[in-house]
Amino acid sequence: MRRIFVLAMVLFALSGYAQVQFMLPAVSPEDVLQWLRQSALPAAEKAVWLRILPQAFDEGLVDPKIAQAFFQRLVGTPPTFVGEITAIMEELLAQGLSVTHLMNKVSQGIIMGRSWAVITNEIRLRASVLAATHASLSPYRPKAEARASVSVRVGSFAFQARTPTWEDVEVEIAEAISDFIAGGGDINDWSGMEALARTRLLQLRGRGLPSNLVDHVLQVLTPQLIGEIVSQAFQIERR
Amino acid sequence: MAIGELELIQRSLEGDLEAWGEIVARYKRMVFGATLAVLRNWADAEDATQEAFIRAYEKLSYYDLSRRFSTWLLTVAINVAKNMLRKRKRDPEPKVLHADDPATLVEKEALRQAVREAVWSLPETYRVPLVLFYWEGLSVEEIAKAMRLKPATVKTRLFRGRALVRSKLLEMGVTADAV
Amino acid sequence: MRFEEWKEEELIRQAIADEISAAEGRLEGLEERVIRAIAARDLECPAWRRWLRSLLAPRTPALRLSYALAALLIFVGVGVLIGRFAFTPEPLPALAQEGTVFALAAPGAQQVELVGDFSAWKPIPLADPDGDGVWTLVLRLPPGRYEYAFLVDGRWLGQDPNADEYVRTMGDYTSVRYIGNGEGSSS
Repeated sequence: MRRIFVLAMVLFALSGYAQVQFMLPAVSPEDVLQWLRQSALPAAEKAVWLRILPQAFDEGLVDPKIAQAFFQRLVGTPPTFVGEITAIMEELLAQGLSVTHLMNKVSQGIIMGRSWAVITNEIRLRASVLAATHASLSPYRPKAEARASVSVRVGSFAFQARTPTWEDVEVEIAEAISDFIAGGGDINDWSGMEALARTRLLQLRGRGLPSNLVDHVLQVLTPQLIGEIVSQAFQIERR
Repeated sequence: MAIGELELIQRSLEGDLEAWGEIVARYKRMVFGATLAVLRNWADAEDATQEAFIRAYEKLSYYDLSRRFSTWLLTVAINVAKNMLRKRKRDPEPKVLHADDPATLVEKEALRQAVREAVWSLPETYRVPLVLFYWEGLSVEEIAKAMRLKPATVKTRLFRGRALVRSKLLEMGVTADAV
Repeated sequence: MRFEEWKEEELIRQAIADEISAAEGRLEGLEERVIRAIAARDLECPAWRRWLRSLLAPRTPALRLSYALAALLIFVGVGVLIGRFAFTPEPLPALAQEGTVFALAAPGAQQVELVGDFSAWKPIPLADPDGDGVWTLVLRLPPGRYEYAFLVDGRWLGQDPNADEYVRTMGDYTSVRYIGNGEGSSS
């Protein structure tokens, strides 16, 4: 019965959150797939998404709410743009990497009124950095965190009550590096990037990221590690 | 679910690697069959099988208990194998499946060889459902879930797959007389 | 001439089994290899986390599922009712309500909206009830880091004076706020 109470507390807190007015209406993976099937997205890309999304939802790599908004915005954009964005995200998902934040970035770019080329470049940059970050940090991944992301499932109900995971830590570090570079920072300033990533992790420690994960990753975060990530992301020959 | 499997899964979730090892032992043939069906290459299938079990372990908390475990495991395995296949498509696909005994084969053996080659040279679309059906003895519904297809589609592919084997054998000059 | 169906099925079954059985030798010792690969990423697991996991790990779901389902319905129902009555959607003066205040002085503007990653960049309108040019909105956000900006009559305004920091991306500024009681922060 202990478990019931824990579950009940989680639900109680959830339903409280669910009442906040800004929250987009709850969207289930099935809703997204259904919408996608009937949407006016280019046939080729629609097929790709319909193929890869179910597994991506299952593995928590895509948030349905964000995905829904993202696909809605994609409708009507040039097919080449849809194709390029889809290809980049498909590759990340195949590696088991989350793309929710990139979907949001596309939405942001569109609402900022940026050109397709600018948005695509931005996504490409962030995707490369994320893949490289994941590769460099994998050896340090704590085993315990593999199951800390308790996505509570009861029958067919799946609650988006995600506990932040190691994947989220990787995303934050990757995004910090990308923000630094996209903001005009020097690609060789590994110390600057490390400082930004460290500051961001400390800001999120205890609110958005679990303290023990942050502490753990800060032990291995060095300018050299950043350098390894950047070199890999941009295929630079390291001296 | 099989008796004891639930216990093994729960212990794996708690970090008991021995328990996961037992799961691997029980399902490795099934997973290997599926990855071999997709990749056709022994070494690649072995890599994919290992990777599939590692990935399944990492994503175990996302496994929905209301679904059959073997089906979920298969979806992970097929996904891993297909990703590997996509990456490999840049290299030419291996024409020869594997080296085999060149010694003189008895007629029955020749037929067996011929059917083996006919089945394994099928396109992936038909090969994978056939393997799952005949190797693992999965039902059409289970194959449909594992491959994320409609049951009707699976039935069609099984039917067409068998027909293709037949026509390949005829092409190879193997007739019913040899049976 | 056609093969008899049952013979054909047997042959196919045989063909598949032949190939896989021939390759099966490779599976020898796979259990150890998988365990070693997973263990290679091991780190010590704190006792409190083990307790938490055992608390949440499912045991006999067939039985517990129905209990959990019942509890789910009860508590969601109660939670929904409480949430509905306790939260009012109108923006209130900053100190009168719990939440994050977004405020912008934009006299002369016809419309001011908030866009951010928490809303998938969909615009949320701010309100200026007394017409003094100060537009506000209160949102309850879970702890974390949020990027946002204002749209003033449709124009992007990326630098909120009340933001914690700014990032420059895709050629313009975006504002950032950290919400929640952090353990390792300065604000």
